[in-house]
Amino acid sequence: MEDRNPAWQADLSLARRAQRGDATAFADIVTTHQRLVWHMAWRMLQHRQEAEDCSQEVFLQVHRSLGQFRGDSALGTWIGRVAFSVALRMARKRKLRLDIPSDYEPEQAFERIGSDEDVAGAHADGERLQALYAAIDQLPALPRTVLSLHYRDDLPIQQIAAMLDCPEGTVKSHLNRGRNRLKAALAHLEASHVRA
Amino acid sequence: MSAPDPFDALLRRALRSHDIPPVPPTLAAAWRPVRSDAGARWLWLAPSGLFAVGLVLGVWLAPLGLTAAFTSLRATVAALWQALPPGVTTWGLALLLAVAVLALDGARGYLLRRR
Repeated sequence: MEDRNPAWQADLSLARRAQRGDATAFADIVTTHQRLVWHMAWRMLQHRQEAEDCSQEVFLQVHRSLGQFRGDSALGTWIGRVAFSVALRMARKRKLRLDIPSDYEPEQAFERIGSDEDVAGAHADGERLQALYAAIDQLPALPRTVLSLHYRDDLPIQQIAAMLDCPEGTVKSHLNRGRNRLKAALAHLEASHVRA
Repeated sequence: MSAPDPFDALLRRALRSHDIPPVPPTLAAAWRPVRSDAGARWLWLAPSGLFAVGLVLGVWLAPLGLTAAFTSLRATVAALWQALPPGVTTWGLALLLAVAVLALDGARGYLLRRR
């Protein structure tokens, strides 16, 4: 169970008010957690309109099932779990690649990264970042989302696992595989530069 | 304690500076409560309220000898009514009804905006 700090208490009280039909309380919940929901929807789907539809669907489901929220976890984690489940369903419907295949070849990722980049200048920090952006976009939905939640939003592995409804080991695995894939793509880019 | 991997720092920088479109304003706007007409329920009571006031006034005014004045007014209106050609009456009534509906709606909107 997560730490029951004042923020958790405030969330719970907001949820209780929303459960009693206070529309302003629910609007406050949306305002507080929309960034997390949007972030997750965007990282999973990488498509503006679909991410927007997904985010609205998430809050619709949260509104419908708020009565089931018992405060066992933080409200943000509970909403994150709903967001992940809706985004995952939409990603499956779109037949998006969710995970890294076991026969992954870093060269394939590099070819996509390198196509628009000036390989001669790849050592420059800005270009390394550009290369990473491209590699992040090329990642499958799950590792991309997990990496982003962990490195961008600073969410602990335990909370990401609660949102994804999976063991912490699975989150670590997504993190490692995503990280290794990005590292390999970058190393490959830099090796090509040295050869050139 | 192991030294932090420099790649981690680079990855953190990349993910933090990597563009994610801003949260669409429509997301929160869709859930912001709108000012509900339900708060103006009393407006629906207005016809019955007017009827009640009319009844009380009627009962109160009748003994004061104003009945004759009302009867006279009614006769005048009836005479005017009969003097009008039938087509004009119908159109006049329709126009009067439309103006009344618009006036009521305007008054209701004005009252709601003031709340």
